[in-house]
Amino acid sequence: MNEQNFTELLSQFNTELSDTDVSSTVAVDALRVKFLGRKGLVTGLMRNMGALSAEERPAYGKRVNELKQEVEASLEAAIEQARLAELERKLNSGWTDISLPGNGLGSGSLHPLYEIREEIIDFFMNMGFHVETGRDIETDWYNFEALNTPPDHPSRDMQDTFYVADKVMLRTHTSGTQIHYMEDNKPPLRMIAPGHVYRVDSDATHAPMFQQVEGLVVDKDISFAHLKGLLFLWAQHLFGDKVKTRFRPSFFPFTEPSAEMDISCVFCQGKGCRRCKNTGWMEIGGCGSVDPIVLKNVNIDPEVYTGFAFGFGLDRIAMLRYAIPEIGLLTSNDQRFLRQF
Amino acid sequence: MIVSINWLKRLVNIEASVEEIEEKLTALGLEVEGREEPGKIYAKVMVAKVLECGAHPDSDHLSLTKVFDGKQELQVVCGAPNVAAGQTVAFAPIGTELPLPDGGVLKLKKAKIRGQESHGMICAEDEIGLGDAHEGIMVLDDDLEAGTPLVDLGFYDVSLEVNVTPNRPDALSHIGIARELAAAYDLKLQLPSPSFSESGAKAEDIIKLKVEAGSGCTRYVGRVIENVKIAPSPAWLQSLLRAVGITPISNVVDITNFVLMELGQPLHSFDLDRLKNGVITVRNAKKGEVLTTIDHQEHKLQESDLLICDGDAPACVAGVMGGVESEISETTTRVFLESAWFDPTTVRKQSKRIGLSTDSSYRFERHIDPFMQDFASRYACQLIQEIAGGEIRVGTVEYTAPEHQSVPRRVSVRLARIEKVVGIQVSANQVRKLLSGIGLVEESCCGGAPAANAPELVFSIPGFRPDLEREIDLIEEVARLVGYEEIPYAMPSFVAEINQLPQLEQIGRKIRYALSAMGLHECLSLRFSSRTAVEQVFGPAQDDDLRTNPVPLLNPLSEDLGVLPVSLLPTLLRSAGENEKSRTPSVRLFEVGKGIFPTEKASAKDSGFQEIPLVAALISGVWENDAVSAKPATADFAALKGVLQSLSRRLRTPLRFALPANPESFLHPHRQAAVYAGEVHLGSCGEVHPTVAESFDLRLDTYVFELDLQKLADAETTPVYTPFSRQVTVTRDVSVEVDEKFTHEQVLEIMQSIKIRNLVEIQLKSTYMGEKLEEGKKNLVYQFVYQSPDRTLTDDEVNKAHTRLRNFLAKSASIVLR
Ligand SMILES: [Zn+2]
Repeated sequence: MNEQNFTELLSQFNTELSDTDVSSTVAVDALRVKFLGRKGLVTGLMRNMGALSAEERPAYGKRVNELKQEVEASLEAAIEQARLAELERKLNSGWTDISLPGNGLGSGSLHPLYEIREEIIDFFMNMGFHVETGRDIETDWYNFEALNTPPDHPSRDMQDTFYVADKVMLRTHTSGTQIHYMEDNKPPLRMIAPGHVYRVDSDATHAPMFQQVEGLVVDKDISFAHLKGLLFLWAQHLFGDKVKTRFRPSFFPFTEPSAEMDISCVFCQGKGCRRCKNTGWMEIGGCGSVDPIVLKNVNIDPEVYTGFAFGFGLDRIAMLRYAIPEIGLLTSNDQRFLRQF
Repeated sequence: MIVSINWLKRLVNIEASVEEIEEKLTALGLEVEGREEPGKIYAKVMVAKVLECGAHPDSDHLSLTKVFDGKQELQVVCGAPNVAAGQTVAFAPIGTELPLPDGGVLKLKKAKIRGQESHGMICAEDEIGLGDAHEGIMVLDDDLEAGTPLVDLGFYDVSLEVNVTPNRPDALSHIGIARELAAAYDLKLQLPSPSFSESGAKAEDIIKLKVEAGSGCTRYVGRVIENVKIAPSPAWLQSLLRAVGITPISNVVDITNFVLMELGQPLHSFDLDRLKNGVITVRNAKKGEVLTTIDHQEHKLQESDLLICDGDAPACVAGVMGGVESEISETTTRVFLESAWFDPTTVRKQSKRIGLSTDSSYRFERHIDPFMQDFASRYACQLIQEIAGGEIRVGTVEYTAPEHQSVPRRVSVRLARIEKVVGIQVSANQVRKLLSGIGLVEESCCGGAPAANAPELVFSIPGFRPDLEREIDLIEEVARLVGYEEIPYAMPSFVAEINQLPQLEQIGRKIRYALSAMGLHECLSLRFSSRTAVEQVFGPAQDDDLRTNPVPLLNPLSEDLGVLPVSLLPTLLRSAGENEKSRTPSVRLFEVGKGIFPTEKASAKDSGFQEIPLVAALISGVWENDAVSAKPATADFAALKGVLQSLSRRLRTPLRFALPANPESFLHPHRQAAVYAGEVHLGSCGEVHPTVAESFDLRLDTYVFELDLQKLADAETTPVYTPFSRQVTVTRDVSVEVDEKFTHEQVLEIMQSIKIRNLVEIQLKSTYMGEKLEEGKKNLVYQFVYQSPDRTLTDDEVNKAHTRLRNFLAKSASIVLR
């Protein structure tokens, strides 16, 4: 091997490098293998070393190394160039219209009313309330009599009832669950019962079926003030911390004192608008201290225990939150309605 | 209850604005739900002074006046004969809009009348809705200040619609509402004090009274008035009645209505000349009796009904409505006036039964004041004497049953109990003041005089508050009168408890999240079905299929909502039809609900019905939407099964699909499967039978499933980790040809019937049916996955194992290897 061989090999490399597509890492790597691979041309020079004398070897070795370093440096530069070129191509090819719709299943929806129902359940569950779902078919005892609503009493007019048999009905409220729960459990009690309820009624604001959530707390030293505190917190949770609550006297056979709970109008923040009939308030549900008769009916001593109960219409809350104008839309099963949620 | 503000002001000297009264009543539990202000349209009409009045130069019947409206002097032409200088009048300035009798509106403009400018109008009563007088202008009190709107001076009544809860019969009268306001504003209630002169014969010599014991009438007071002149009522009476929505008829009838609305005691007036038998009998009806009431409706009576009879002839359905026979007419001169107490339940039952609810029955059934009958009768007599000129005969015919309440009830309340229930501390004196304000009278407790700081107070309850029976009733009154807004907001302290969602609620949530993420929309159907829709799905009634025997409602809203659901599908199919009408390319619905079925009563308290929780879904039309490659997939059996399998993964409940032993008739016979979890049958899935689809107007092929939610929830499993091999896998494909109806499952069965070492998985890669194959054949491509638990397999090993498998398959009669 003489110097000429080295020079020729280097110039061969340089010629081949200049013929190589340096925008392709594959092409550059092929060149690397040809010269620096295990069977490569430069690597081959090292193998010739064996044929040299001990005196010639150091100089020869040095010269091979120099050549190898030069080739390596050029290849490294070429590889880097190829990488950049390839990245450039990746970044500039295949423009995508990101405004095109996504493939696959169109998005489905959860019913707004069940959304609210879940939120309310979670709020109370986090406070340790047990969840009861109750039943749609009730007997007169659970729906009325145990709740201090005797037959032929005008308070039955408040709830027009669908009957399926003598003294068997579609429940007109979730309050019957209170009785079931108090029969099966001993105080202290904390319970909520979401469910479907039914009344013979049908217009823009009344549906023959709607949803309620019933709540019950029975313990020693539970007062009306606690009812106010808990429901205020709940209203804030559901409607935001600016909401105000108002409690005003009302009548339910199974609570006493009884109250209607209003929240400040969510549309005008209490200033007064068309939706709140200029009162600034919206009725949200009924509540009150559990009537001693109800406790007696389930063998709880009202002298020892007191409690409160409340019931809210979920349909109304959903309608308020999502500005739904007609209650009938909620049970329309119309996809044009459902897919908005 | 409609309440007139002017009427209230007769009973309590209240100066608060209408808005304030509304708020106060609502805060007292007498919710004001509406307000009528008939005077609102006359808002611009004001008080004015006539400064000068002269003749119109070009007319003999018109006057030319100068009017002062509080700010300026205006020239006004007036046609009324009674106009004169110095008068205080009602004046409508330019711009006022006055309603005309024909329904139109007269907008006053500056006008020239016979050459003279006129800047408004001096009004007659009828022109501004204050009466019928048209002949002359309305002359007002000289004290009134020019410029004041008439509306502000109480010329127009305002009526409020008050929602009176069933526990407050006292508030079904103006006196009751006024009492609440008097207490709230610390004012004096001005009760009427009836006085009249009696003359002539004794009432009991004119008519006799016979009340059947136990009939439901416990108190009856009758008076006789003769020489009455029936005529229209005076204007004040008419306008008060109109304000509360009662049409004035004639003086005597109007007075009974007035007393009813003021005191809450229903009265009935009979034409005494038309009571032919001289005896008023109060008794239960006999079977077959008939009475025509004053609304000319004929009622067939029942034995439970309570009647007022003329001798033995029915004359009045007690407490509800009088008979047409003895009705007061223009020619009436002799009146028998009834004031009675009827049993609330009796009146309620007969009012419901004959479908007639009147102002009277509404009050009787809510329990009127048992001490009010004579007072109301005397009040009516006074008014009749004053207004209709009647002569009141001496005394009464009356009856009091032994069971009639004779003394006020006594109820006590402990101050400590108020604090326990309400959460506020009140003193004995506070309670005294609050409760005496609404008419309760404190009694001495245990013999002695009530101590200032007594721990317990006793009150006697006036007759108009039948709702106050127990301590808790008084506690509520205290809370109400203190004001609910005065009760603090407090948080109860709860003991921490272990708590979790009920099983069905939990699985319901998982299903809702899973199915909505798969592109389905959650439904909420009315839980009523139409019998027709149920029949469309499950066929006519059969003894052995509960789904064909839905439970009917006894009083449905309509045929269409006539039965309880046996399945979620009838309603979902209807909804799919409705949705298709909106030309949606796809319908994807699901619902978590229940079916309701009759069952054996588990106990006496049981309803005899069981509720089966269900989940159902429906898909049709475009399934996987791919706008980019424009190859949308359509909902088919595989799509439906895919939904169920994804759901099964999400719920960790392995589902099994099998050919149904008893195919569902509403599903396509060859495109349905029974769904199992282990050996438990959960329900079925498949394509809706074309005939059923057609009956629901479905054009798209529709796929449904319905599963028993409870059974599905019970089958939930907890995954247990099994170790898996980390060695490299090697795959080999096998293409087989089989008969079209030879199932994938059958092919798999054959493939799995030989034990091959290191074969860990067989996956179906593709299926093909079409022109490249013989008719009735299909091609299936499977991928076989080989993997050793502990080392890398060599090609040789895999090839050997795979050849064994191929050789085995080649021998199968059902499979042709490709
Ligand atoms: Zn508002």
